[in-house]
Amino acid sequence: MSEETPKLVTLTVDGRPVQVAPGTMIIQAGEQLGIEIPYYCYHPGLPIEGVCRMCLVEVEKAPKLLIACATPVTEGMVVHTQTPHVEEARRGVLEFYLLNHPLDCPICDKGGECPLQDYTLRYGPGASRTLEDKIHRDKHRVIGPHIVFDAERCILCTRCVRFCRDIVGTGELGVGYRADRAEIILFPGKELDNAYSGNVIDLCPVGALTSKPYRFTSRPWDLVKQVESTCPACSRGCSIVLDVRHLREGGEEVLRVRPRHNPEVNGYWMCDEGRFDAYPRRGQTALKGPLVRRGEAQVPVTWDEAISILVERLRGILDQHGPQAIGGLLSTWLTTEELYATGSFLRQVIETPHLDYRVSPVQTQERDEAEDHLLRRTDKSPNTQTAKLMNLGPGPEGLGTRAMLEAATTGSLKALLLFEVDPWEEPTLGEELEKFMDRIDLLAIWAVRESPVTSRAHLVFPALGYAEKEGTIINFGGRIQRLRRAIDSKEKIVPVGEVLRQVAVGLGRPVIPLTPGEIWQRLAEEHPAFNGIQYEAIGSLGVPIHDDR
Amino acid sequence: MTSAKLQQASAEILKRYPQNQKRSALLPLLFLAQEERGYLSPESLEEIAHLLEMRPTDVWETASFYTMFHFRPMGRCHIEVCHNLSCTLLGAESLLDVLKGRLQIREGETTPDGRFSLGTAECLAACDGAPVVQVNGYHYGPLNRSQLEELLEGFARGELPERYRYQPWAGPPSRGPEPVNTFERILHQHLLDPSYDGRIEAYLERGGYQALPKAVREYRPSEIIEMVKRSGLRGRGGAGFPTGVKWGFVPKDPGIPKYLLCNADEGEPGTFKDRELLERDPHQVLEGIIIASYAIGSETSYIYLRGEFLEAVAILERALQEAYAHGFLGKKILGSDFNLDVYLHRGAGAYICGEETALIESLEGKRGEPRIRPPFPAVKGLYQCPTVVNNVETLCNIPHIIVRGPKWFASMGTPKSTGTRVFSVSGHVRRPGNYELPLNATLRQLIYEHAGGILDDRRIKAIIPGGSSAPTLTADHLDVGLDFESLAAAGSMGGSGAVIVLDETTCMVKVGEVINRFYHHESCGQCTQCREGTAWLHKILKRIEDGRGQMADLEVLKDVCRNMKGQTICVLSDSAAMPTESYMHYFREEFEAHIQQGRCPFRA
Repeated sequence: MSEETPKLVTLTVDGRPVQVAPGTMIIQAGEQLGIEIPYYCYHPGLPIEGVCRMCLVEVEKAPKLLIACATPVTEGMVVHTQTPHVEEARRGVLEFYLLNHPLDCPICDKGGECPLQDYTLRYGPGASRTLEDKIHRDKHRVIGPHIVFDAERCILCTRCVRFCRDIVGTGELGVGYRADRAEIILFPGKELDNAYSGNVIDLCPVGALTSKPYRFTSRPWDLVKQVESTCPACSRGCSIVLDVRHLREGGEEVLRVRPRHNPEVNGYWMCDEGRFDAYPRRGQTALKGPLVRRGEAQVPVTWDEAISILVERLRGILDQHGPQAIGGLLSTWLTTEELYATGSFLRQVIETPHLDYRVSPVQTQERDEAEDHLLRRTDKSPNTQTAKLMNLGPGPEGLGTRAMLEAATTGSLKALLLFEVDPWEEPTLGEELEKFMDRIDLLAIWAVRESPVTSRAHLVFPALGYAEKEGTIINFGGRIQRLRRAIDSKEKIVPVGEVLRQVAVGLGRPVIPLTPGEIWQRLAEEHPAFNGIQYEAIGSLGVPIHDDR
Repeated sequence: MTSAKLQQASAEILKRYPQNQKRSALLPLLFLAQEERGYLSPESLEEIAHLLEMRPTDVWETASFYTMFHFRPMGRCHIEVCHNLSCTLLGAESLLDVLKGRLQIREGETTPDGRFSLGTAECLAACDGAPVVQVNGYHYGPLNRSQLEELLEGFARGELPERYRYQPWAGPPSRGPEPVNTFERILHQHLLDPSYDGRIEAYLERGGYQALPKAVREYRPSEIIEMVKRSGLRGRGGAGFPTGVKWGFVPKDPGIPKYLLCNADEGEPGTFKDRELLERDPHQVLEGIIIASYAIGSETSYIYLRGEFLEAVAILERALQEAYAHGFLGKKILGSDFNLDVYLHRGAGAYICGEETALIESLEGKRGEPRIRPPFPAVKGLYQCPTVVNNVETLCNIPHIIVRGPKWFASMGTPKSTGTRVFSVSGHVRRPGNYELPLNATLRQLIYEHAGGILDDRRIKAIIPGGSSAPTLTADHLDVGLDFESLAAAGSMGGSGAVIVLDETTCMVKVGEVINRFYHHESCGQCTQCREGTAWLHKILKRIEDGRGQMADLEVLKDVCRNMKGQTICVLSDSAAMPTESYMHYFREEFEAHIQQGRCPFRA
């Protein structure tokens, strides 16, 4: 860090001077000035290939046009991006691309967000001059669990090939044959099935690689909101964008999840689990309202009724057995604010020492591990780091997860509160709950979806899904990032913090703060790691936690 | 092929390449596996991937790039008719018709009994034997219809007859009187003697391997580079870059391995000079390779041999053995500190691999896709090490420069194009063949004095002076010099030294169709303009030739050519566009006549 900073290089692009680091390519210098240099094969996250020839620019003293993606800047370089020569070359490239392109834009997923469409409109020829037949190729080949390939639309930019080869390292894709017979190929019998395959959908500058679930479901202009959020699929917390569409029957849904560039967290990429699974699973709550068990059956109740029932049951157990008979498990799917609310509720309202967040074995380790060289982590919940920083484990006399379950089985623990602990995610936990589910005095659960536990709990409170709430999470590396509400929940959901506040009032106990601002103020007071961090200052790329280790 | 056998073979092959560069053995192993089974199955490809620690996809994408590999069973006799320019001019289409009729199959098909497969080939570098047919790798030509039918009977019996085999020969005597020899021949000096067999004894007897001891004993590498610079020698492969200057770009750092690659991937349509030098005087090439390696500090050198040069394989392997046995290769050559190993590496059917960076990629076991420059090979070439790629003929000049001195060499030719050059003359001439002339000779001397003039004394319509990539000239240019500058000044280029002569009966639209069919076939496909442009040119020209052209096509052709030039990684795209433009420039009325008449006016 202390080494001298390299001297900047000064050049002009379209008459405007700009200073960039040595080794910068012309295309990036242009970008810095906001000058668009069109391209297809270039991608800042991939090795340079230089084959689409779309980014040709004129450089004074160079005998030919040069590709802006692979030409490093030099001192005093004079670049022109809008000369007749450049414009003619762009028009030429686009005319070549369109010779064999099927022009099936009306049925193409990419239509409306397609660089081939956009650049053709901006720089391309107005009409086709070819009289030759177009080359026909495979139109819809399923090449993997998530991806469908249309070889006719492909413009052979090789971004997908480079991604699989150089970023993931699995190299399922290649370019086979040559000349205009060249095509993206897989080895016979093999699939594009790496854990990051979905990125090729974003990378593909045309509609050649499409998403199996998204295919034909929407048009880009129907995706009314692009909400910047953070992926909950593991402790990495990749920066993402949620594409939201209105539903015909009212309400909204998250239709696509895409990575958002964050050099500190995920670069340009995300894994398939986050892209395809996390939101269908836990993005929206599937529960309609609170349920109370009456005998063998569960019946719907209003939120007020559910809260009163919880107050009464807790009071009864507290009166009869004291706080030691109550325990709580906090899922690290909860946001920082929810963890604060639930943890404070157990410690300060109930005054029990029995609480724990370590539900999965990986959370009992000092730190989770990288699952591969790229992004995925072994902790498949997003917010363990927060629970650790807040010390949400059992106190000196408290019971941890396993001990609590044992105590419930032997009968010494009378009530267990499960905050978004999901037996689908932790099947072994489900088995252990089985042992005492019918014997315990009170089993209350907050959940986003039904499970064998919700169907038999005494009280079920719907929780907000990941797309339905605001808040923060802290990734394994200590980066605090925002969750943004992308959609409103279909039914009225009272957030867990509000439920617990009302329960505390009902029990006549101290009230827990509610707003994020208040919570972050308290966090800063209570935990040194949160010192100096203001909720409002957490930008779209997050901020690092104060680390005094 | 059994795993054990392939494994054993691979161990032997892998010794030719650095230990961490196993992928280089890919093409040799693919050839082996294919020889065994007749084609490459997914299982063979996977096995090779496993042996070379490669991903199956990488094996598949590389294998599918090269036309000599087959992925389905082929007929026991695989007949391919060269349909490039020189062969088409002399009746290739008629040979193809004979075969289609007799075998009752079309191109790309195999007879139901599995005996014959029929196909077409691009220029086989045997244009003085045009029209040429390749049969299981062996070349036959020149052939007429009845000779082909006679051969076919032998093929049907499972034979590969010796009769009508193509022989590289400096001016085949069968085609007329010997040329007037007014110049000293340097590279061809041994070849004039029909008894010269190219073995090391014959080469030594005639003064061969005298340059090598002189080089390693009397000169430092830098002095050799200086001599070659002073000789003015320019690359004979196509670009004409000064050889000594190219060598001088190689960093002197002794810590980095350096490579001298001999480009023996002769494929520019019309060119067949290197093949003759390789097959008939292999030690002249080797001596050049050894001295060049000494000059740039290379201890490993590869001869990248065109895959179709099947007969050259045995010749070169024998020559290498002889050179090792005489101590010209190996450790401490001639008692010096200089070590050198030379290996043969076969291409597998891809014109583009003659481009030096594509050649390097191919030698690394990859698709032959040219690299973006800079970095230039002299800095980062094979295995990212400094590399010099020199053409066969270029290297053949080196021993002579060492023995007779740069001054002597520079005294031949013109001030900027020194020395002699071997010109491959084909097309409508009486004596097609390779002729070595000093670079101050003219097209007229080459065509009329050496190649015997035009068949049946017809008039010249066009002269393509540097391989099919060169813009055409006309009969008006007969007095243009053969040196690089004169040809450039006349609007064409020296290129590969292949001179294709077209007489007045030639249809220039057809010529355009044929050469663009070639570039369409050979484009590596990575750059947009080339991948799409070569195909488009070919399709438009074919349509015009077939009588379905429109006047608007001519404007489109011009624009397509313009958009293909100067915009791609390598010059293959330019090589299609430039000659096409020149045909339209000189012979526009022929294009218009096709369109107006709705037919080719040259067809009966």
